[in-house]
Amino acid sequence: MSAQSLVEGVFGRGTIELYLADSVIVREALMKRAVEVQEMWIAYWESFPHPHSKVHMLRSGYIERPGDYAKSIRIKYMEHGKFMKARITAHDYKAHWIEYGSSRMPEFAPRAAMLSYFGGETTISA
Amino acid sequence: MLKVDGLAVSVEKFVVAYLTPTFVNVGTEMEFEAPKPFYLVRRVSGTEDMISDYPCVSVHVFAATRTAAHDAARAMHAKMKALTARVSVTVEGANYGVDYREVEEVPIWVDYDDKTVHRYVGRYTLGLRLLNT
Repeated sequence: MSAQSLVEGVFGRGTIELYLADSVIVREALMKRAVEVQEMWIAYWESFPHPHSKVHMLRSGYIERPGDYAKSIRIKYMEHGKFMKARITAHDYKAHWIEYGSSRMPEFAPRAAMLSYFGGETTISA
Repeated sequence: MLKVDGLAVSVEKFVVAYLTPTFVNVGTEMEFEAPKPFYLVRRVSGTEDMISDYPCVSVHVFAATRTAAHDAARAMHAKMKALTARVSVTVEGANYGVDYREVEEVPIWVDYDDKTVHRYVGRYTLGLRLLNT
């Protein structure tokens, strides 16, 4: 019997996971990974050329600026009992068009690329 | 000597070939004013190791009304869920299959920035073996 299975046998897997989830090291690692995802998401998006990007005003009066989408990619930390989750979301109004494409935009799918690279799970909305 | 660093079958051709017997208007390019419902297949991401390709593929379902798009997307989703390791698909004269199929995103309505069409998008990850070259 390996040391790991012995420990699991004595404490139970759920107990070990709870101790790990409550660990400062694990929480710091999660926060570091979340920042890594955020930075790579931005770098991925900025690696595409954006020839039509310019400052302009929408009919609603909102002034759109180059870089708005990248700035809108933010991390939110959520507590679930002793567990912590990090959610990285693009909040810009164009986010779903950038992710899924539109009649005027290709399907860049940066979120799907991050999920392929880092793993994790997604909600089904952009 | 066995080499396992080849290319897998094109996932776009594979999914188009899989959906085509069931649905009309399936493709990887959608012309302006294409007949509806239209099923647009696009690879959007994915990874690869020495054994397999793991493409994530989007299937966009376009229709004139939201209800029609919804119903067409549900039918497409049912067909994609029926894609198991037992299914064989013929692409350019050769037979291929998947090791697995995962539903990444159940089809949802996503604005297309065009008032004349409604669109649902589902995403799936497949496991496709690299071909011996």
